Amino acid sequence: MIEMFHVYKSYVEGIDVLMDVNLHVSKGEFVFLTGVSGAGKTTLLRLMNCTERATSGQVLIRRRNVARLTSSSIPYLRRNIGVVYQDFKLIRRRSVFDNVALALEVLGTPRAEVQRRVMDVLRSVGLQHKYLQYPPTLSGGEQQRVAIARAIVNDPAILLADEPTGNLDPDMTIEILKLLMDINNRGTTVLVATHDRSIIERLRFRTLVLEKGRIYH
Amino acid sequence: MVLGQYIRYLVVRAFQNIRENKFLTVVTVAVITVSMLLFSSFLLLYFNLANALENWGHDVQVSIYLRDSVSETEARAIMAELETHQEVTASSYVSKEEALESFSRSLSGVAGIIDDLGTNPLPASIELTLRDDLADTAAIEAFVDSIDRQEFEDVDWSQEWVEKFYAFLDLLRWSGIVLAGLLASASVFIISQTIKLGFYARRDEFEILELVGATGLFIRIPFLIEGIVQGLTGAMAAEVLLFVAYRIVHGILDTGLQETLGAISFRFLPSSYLAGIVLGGMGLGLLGSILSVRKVVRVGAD
Ligand SMILES: Nc1ncnc2c1ncn2[C@@H]1O[C@H](COP(=O)(O)OP(=O)(O)OP(=O)(O)O)[C@@H](O)[C@H]1O
Ligand SMILES: [Mg+2]
Repeated sequence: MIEMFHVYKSYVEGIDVLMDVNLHVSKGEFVFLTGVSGAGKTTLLRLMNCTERATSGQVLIRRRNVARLTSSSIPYLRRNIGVVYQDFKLIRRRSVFDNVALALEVLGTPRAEVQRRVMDVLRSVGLQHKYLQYPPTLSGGEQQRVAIARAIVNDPAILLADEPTGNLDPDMTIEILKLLMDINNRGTTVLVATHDRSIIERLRFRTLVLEKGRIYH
Repeated sequence: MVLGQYIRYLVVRAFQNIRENKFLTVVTVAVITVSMLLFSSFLLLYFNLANALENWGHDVQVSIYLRDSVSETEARAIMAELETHQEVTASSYVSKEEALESFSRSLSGVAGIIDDLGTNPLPASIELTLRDDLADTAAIEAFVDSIDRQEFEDVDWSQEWVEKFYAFLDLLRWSGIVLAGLLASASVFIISQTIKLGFYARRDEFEILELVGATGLFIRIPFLIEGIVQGLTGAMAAEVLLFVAYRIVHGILDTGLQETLGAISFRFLPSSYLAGIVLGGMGLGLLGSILSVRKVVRVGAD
């Protein structure tokens, strides 16, 4: 599902953020990606949804080399990848409902179905009663759950979650992890970047460790 | 199905943009309204003058001034011959005395001066009325040239007047084109600038739209719709204002000038012109928005 071969990435000439990264995540797998702050977790995820390009090496998503994608086909790749961004990336001027609905609207999903699926997913993250509020009026944890809802609302083939529990209390963390496992059970390949050791130890999924830009298994 | 849904989302987003950017929208629409109003007033003026020319131009009168040596009998013979031309619909003979009489009647002030001259300086003339469809100056000129003969002192068919009028109309048309060009480019510029402002205010939104897999068109089309809606609104507002102004001017003409101007009527633009103005407004709006949204921030794609 996700493969990387000898991937290097540098934002600034001469400083490699990622060095010779090789990894393979199979279809339907649930994988953790961990590492200290600044290790390059977010960078690795960015390469997967084409918001950054590898400086060298190959990134394959669903067996397609992303370096070969034309800019007009990138949107279609992204529709198969739900991403929970570390900084949420919600539109401040749009309601919770509209933010989540966006992921379905770009697909041309009929209105009634959008309505149903958005309310369903908001219920699963415990925010159905806040669907008319705007992101700035929500707590950090609530915004994070909106971001999760948007990432999973269209049942993507791949879910990339960057610190999805970073702002949540322990109870909510368990709720969200259950949700991610649910999605995984329905066939979505899940990659969760986190530096929260406790959840990694509790769930015992395969864990990729990033250290100074290199992967250790 | 899917296309219909897309259109719906795009239109909804366009109107969201408009609602959230009320001030910019009002400014843009006002600019379009003013320029469309200027242009359409010009068009209204042109349309009515051209119309008037058509009405007057239909009735071409040719005055043939005869040399004094030509007697009335000879003149009437020439007249009979002229009437055989198919261009001529009517003719009449005006003797020297009749000419003087009507001249004195129309200019009573100078009648005394002519009396003092002792002789009658006015020539006798043959007045011809030409067919309606001979409104083209070239055709009239050709006809007049073809009937010329040595008994004629001079042939006058209010040529100068018609030609000047045509020249004026030509000038008006060219200034109209220049004016339209200036107004159109000014409007397009302002529309593109205001839409660009709205566009920059939403940069973060575009990034997010791209992240969830929106295509460039999905992001841009609402702005194009916004431009078209603004152009449409501005053009229609201009037409309403123009109509109000027209009614007012028409009222003034009705009570005063209308009697003197007689058959000339001041008319509003026909519906085809109105439709053209609306389409033009929409076109300006579309062009302005296309110019402003050509480049969209692209995340990760270079
Ligand atoms: N756009 C950028 N331009 C330049 N340097 C960057 C950019 N983004 C990240 N970096 C650098 O790359 C390195 C890895 O950053 P990254 O965000 O991938 O770390 P991370 O593992 O996600 O950290 P955290 O756990 O704090 O989120 C950091 O040293 C960071 O300064
Ligand atoms: Mg990070």
